[in-house]
Amino acid sequence: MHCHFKRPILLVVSLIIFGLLFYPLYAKEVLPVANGVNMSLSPSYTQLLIQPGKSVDITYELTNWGDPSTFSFHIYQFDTIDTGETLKKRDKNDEAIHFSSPDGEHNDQRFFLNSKKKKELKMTISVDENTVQHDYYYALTAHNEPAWNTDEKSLAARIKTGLSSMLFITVSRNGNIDSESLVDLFTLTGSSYPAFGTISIFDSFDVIRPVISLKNNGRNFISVDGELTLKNMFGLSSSLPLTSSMVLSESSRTIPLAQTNPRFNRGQIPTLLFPGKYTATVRIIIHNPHTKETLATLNSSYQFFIIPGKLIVIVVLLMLILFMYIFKKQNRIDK
Amino acid sequence: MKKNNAVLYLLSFIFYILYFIYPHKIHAVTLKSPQYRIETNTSKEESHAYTPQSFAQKGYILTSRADKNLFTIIISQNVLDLLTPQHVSITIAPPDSGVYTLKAFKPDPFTNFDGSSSIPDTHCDLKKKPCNPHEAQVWDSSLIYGFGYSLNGSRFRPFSKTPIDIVRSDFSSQKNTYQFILKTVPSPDQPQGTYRATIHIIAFPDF
Repeated sequence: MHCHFKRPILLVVSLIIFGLLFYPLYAKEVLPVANGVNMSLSPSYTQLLIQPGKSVDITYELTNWGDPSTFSFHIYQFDTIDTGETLKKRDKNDEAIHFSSPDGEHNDQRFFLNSKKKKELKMTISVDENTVQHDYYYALTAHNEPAWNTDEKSLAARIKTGLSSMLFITVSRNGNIDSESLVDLFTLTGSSYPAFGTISIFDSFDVIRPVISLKNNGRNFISVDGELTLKNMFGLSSSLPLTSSMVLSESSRTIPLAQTNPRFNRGQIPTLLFPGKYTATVRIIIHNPHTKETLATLNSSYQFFIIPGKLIVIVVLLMLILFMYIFKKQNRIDK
Repeated sequence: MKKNNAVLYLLSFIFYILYFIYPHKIHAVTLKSPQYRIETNTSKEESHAYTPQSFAQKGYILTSRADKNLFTIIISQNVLDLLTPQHVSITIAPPDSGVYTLKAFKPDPFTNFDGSSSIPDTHCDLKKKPCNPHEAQVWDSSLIYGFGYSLNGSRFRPFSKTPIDIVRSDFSSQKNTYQFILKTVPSPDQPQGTYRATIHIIAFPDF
């Protein structure tokens, strides 16, 4: 009897010890995804105002959270076009800005990185004395370099994963920023009703989305913030901040509303609004991105009307049903 | 009696309308600027430490965004056997700016080792409205040969040769996951051999 009682306990204890001993092996085998990538790059954004003939050091940090793997760095060049930006390989002729690093690590040199290890890229940016004074936009990208499996398949693909950090350089001798901006579009969208000429009508239940686009005709990128103010005909007003953004040189950019309340989607004006006439005014403040100095303030206004059309229809229908019910009930009492 | 009822209902109606159309205040919070640090060759300075003299002396102002949230990309698998459609999940942890873009491209054709034969990009089922790198379409037919991908859905499109935006995120401080399906339908006339394709997927932070 004593013996029968002791054996199961010993068995359970043995199993627990066995499990604890082999758990690390088991966990190591299960947790990482085979051939997966998990990496971080910091900082995600860098801006530089620099005089011709000067140089500066930047340090980037790549962390490999996934399996041991091979990585590389590459510098892409950004072109601004009216609609936004496009990515392209560095123009060989654009040698006014020089990048250098120990062993040329910034330039497609492959290196191995173990799991949970970090790699620091110390890069020097040098600007020639005769460099043209305008902006140069780059993206330093860390690439994962997957190796092909040894068991070759007849159809195989590999995904070269990349993570970029933006690098915007303004070359200026005196530090001044060339800015010439205008609000090239300010409108409100989302109306349930057709517009009557220049008069826009929204319903109290409409989700109103402002579209604010800023055009930067200057030679340098600028940082913008500001607010959208709604004012009704009784003088009550409320303001919603705009997202702080950069607008690259000779390009347009849509500036969205900032997320002010998690209940509302970003970019929409919280409704329900009181019926009547409203004036929406957007105030955009343009800053020197390097010094935060205010360069200019732009204002643009838009007038619109709010009517509780959908509410009126619902209430009228409810009233009709109610009156019909009362009318029928009254007739029955009279009879 | 009828008159009293009518007045009562009319008053109720007015109160009902007034309740709904009474002005509602819109609450907004102050926008917090992203945190920056300014680095020089020798020391780290706060942004308010800038003076025109410091630029004149040092010759530069370097500002890096000190993200509290690391900009991270996670891909479930990066070497794929395309004999059957493959599912790949891509997860992005956005930086502090909260917005990012995913760009994808396939710079080189899906070829065999000596480059003598390649698997074409899919044009999807509809000949009148074929899919292209910017527009996905239905691709169910096993008689339409080629290589393409689907993002969060059943519609497919071919990869572009140059980088194009395939995801432009809305503001988010949370991780977002996207499901890719990569599909190949080789033609029966395709010469035998080992075919390989390299796809680039790069995440860019907003600025």
